[in-house]
Amino acid sequence: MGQRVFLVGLTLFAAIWIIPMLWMFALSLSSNEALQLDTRTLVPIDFTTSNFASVLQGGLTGRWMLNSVVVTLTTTVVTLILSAMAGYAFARISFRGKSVVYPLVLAGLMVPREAMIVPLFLMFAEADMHNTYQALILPRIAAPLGVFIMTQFMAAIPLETEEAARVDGANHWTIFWRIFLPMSIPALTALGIFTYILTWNDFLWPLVSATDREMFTITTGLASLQGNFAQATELGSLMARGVVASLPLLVLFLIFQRQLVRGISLGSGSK
Amino acid sequence: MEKKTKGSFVRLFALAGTSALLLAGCAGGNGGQAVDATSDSTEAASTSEEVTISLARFFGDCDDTTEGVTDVKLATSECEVIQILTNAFNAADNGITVEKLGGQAWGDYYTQLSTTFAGGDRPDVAVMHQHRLPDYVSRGLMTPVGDLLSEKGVDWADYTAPALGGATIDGEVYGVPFDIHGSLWHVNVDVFEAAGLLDESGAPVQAGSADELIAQCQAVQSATGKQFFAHDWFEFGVGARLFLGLVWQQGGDLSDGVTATVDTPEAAAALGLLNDIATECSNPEQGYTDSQAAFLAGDVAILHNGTWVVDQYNREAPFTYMATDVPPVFGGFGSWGDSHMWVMPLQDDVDPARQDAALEFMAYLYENVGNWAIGTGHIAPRASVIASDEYANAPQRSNYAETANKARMVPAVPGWAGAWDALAEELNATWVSGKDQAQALVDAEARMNEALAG
Amino acid sequence: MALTRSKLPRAQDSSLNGRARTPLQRNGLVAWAFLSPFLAVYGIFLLFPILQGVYMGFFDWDLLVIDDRKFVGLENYVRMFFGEGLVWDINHKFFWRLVGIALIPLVIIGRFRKKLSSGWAISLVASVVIVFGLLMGFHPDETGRWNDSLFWLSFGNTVAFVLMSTPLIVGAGLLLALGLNRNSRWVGVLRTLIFAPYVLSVAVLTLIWAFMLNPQLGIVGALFEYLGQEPISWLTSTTWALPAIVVVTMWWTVGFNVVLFLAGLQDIDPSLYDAASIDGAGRFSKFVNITIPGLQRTTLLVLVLQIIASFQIFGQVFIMTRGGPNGATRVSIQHIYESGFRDFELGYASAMSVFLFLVMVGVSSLQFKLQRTSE
Repeated sequence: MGQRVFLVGLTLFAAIWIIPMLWMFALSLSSNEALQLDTRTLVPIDFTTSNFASVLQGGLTGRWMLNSVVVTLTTTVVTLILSAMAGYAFARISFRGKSVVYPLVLAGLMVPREAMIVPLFLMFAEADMHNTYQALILPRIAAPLGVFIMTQFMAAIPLETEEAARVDGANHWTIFWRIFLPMSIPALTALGIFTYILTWNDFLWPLVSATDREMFTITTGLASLQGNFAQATELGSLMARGVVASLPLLVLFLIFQRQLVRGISLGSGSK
Repeated sequence: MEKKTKGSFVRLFALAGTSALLLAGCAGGNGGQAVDATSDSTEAASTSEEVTISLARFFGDCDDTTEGVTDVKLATSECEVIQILTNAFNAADNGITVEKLGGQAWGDYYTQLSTTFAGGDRPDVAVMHQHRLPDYVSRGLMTPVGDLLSEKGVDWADYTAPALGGATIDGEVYGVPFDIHGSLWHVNVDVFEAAGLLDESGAPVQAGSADELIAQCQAVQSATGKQFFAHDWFEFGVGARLFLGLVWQQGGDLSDGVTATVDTPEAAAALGLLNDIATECSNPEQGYTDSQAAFLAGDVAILHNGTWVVDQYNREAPFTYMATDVPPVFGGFGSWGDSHMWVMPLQDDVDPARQDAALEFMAYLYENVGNWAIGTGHIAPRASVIASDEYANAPQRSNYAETANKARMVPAVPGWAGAWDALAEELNATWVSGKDQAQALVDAEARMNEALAG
Repeated sequence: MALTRSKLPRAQDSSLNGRARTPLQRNGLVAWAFLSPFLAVYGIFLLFPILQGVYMGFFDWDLLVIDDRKFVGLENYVRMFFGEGLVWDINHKFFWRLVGIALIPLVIIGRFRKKLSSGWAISLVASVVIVFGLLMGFHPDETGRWNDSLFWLSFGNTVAFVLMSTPLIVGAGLLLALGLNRNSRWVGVLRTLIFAPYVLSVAVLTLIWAFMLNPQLGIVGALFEYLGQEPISWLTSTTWALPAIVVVTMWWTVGFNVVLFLAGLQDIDPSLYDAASIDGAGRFSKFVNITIPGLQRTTLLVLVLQIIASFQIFGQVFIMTRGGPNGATRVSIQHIYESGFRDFELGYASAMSVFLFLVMVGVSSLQFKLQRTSE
């Protein structure tokens, strides 16, 4: 009974929580002209699908989506691999220099991104690597966030599990691959989701590095469609673009979020 | 259960990874090639005689409505005008292809443009606001185009004084002015009529003094109950523009070209009037979007906005609409203006073929100044265009002819962007947050000098 | 067997804390093998630009004319921190200094409870006295002014933002994670709804909320009017603008913390709960004795990340209020961004970034230190 009340309460909370996004969706289906006069509604005014039509039929929208997918997918996959390996080393191996290297890696979290844009930009300009996928991917796969998360979660795995495998004569690589990775699926899922979203929504770096229209990501691409004072004249279009840009991420989360509560048991011997 | 989870996860992971790398492999190559194509233009020039130049601009992207269109009369927005003009130029048999670089709205445009100066490829032709030009010229980053374009047939004498003045620094011309855009007072004529404030010709009476303006305000509000005045009080520095115009009307200025001069009696008078308007005749909680919304809904008598919305309001206002000059409330004409101009960044290695092509394109834009002005509502910067029938017959233009001839631009001082932001913030603080006006002017001057000196 | 905190399986320990080493653990080569891919990319694409940034902080470096730079030593730092006509006053910002001094008893308690070593305790007390007792008393007199009038203001706003947002977003994250920690399909939907705002880009987020909070154009205003109240113009109020942005930030990013807490909750051995139930422990007792200790590591993670993220807040503020009204929401990163990209002063912007970085390092080190000794 208490459970049911709780669920109802939570559902109500979630319903209110999601109102701003419902509003965005309602406006995306409203005409730009009507929205110049009134924006206070949760239901579309002067219903129209033309905002979506113009975004989706835009000549380069498909290309921009592809760019975003390629860059984001690659970044996520590589980040997960690099962070998991580094996390394992920091969490489970004792070695000389760890107390220097680990803080050094974490310090990378604390550097404002905006401050690093220009040195990074100059580096890639000198290598003549702007307007490439590599330029969008490489700076992002060195993610202290990933290492931090993986280290914390891998450190929490009980020693008994590791020792049991060592008794069987396993080396570090086997332990990592066969035991720690599977046990880190919730953490990997979390990191994967974050990396995917943060890379997808990255704006400042793609803005200055990918200046060819063909190399825009969906974020910079949709932003480039904006005329001046866009929110006063084409609010419906802006909202439609927002929906188009975020829907893939939402779908992705919906699919993967079950991995977060898989309840993998850590008690020794239980499967 | 656990193994199955791990197995499927690994499989999904592997699939994602391989497909990503494959896609990156083939598509990344294209990205690289795109870079080669634009930077290797000398090769292109010699093999096919087709020169490609790069154009950086804001105004948005409207390819889906302008693809293949070359008749500029069909344009309905800033974006469409410039895009159709570019399409027409590319379609013509001149051996030049103009490639539009990805652009952004003007907020991000300058960030992107600045990084191309820091390193990377500078565009061949770029759009620029007049108030930004001094920063780039003072660092020697712009090409003087005065003589170069005279050879292409540009008649600099045809430009109006404010327009040419905005593009000229230390006697050299650095840009092709495309327009002048400035402050206008958009009037709901029906409301003015209800308050009995129309003159014999049926046009709204322009206030000739501050007192008269306040009297008009009271007349309108008591006769109709509508808000007299509206504008963006805090979002885009619109209040600061009106402030500037009012200071100019009294013969003052904000800078002597070197330092800021804001703590002056003219400034105090202007600020005082604006605050009176804010408290008695307007709603200082309105920003750009809501002030416009209130106006278009018919709830406001006067909206202070710019030239870029004239055609839009003309189309959309459900009441009798008229665009007017900023009234001479301090005795003379004074109104903020800015200018979009086309400039040619200085390249490290000047490629003569590309420079020539860029100049051709700039001369073409010079010739199409009229189409831009008619298509967008901005003021044409050339006397011959202003005198033309087509321009005179465009909606509302004759109603703000004075602005066309006398709009003034901000002082051409490097570092102005930071100074202006500081000024706008201090002014906004008076009518939005109730800051003491005298203190605001003192602080504004100090902060502006800090920005100009740095 | 009664389950107390001290009886938690020592499994939560790791080689990070110092325990007897087995030969397999002590293998430096293997460690570097695992680390080198990451370190290679990190060194080139993160460390090197950072060092370049630090280097730039000692120069007068123009963004547009990169090659034309002038070495100025510590001049940028002098400009940041100091001014002319500075005087010292016991009364200046009295309230906040008193709050700061109140930290000293906490430090002493921490020393008592063996959470802090003598060395740390003494240095913390000294820092508190210096910062709150001494440094905060400085301010320009009537004729003087700071060299950079915006620097300390924006730093103050940033600190205020960190103090407001951290408890709110971390606390909300924990509560929501506890509520959403069920393996049912419907709860999965709810999880998605709570997380959904995180997928929005900052441009869309600020667009939605600038409208929502607008008294004339937004739903919040409509709600106020429906209830017969005058709508508040949140973003133009010097009192409410920053708190409003805190709330918007929470709506946007709490999903991140929820996900981390959920992942952390999975690491708690369910058999502990079963054993506690057998012992007759109630829900609250289970929560205090099993869940909270079990989440220690995750909480440190979330707390550190949240504080770092809050110190670096930029997008929402820049787009929604541009630092206004009257500078009430200007934060450090906005000042850094404008100095670099609007005023072209790359060297100065870099120096300010270094300062912000050092502050974050200091705060994070303290957090790690407190966490470590409590294990």
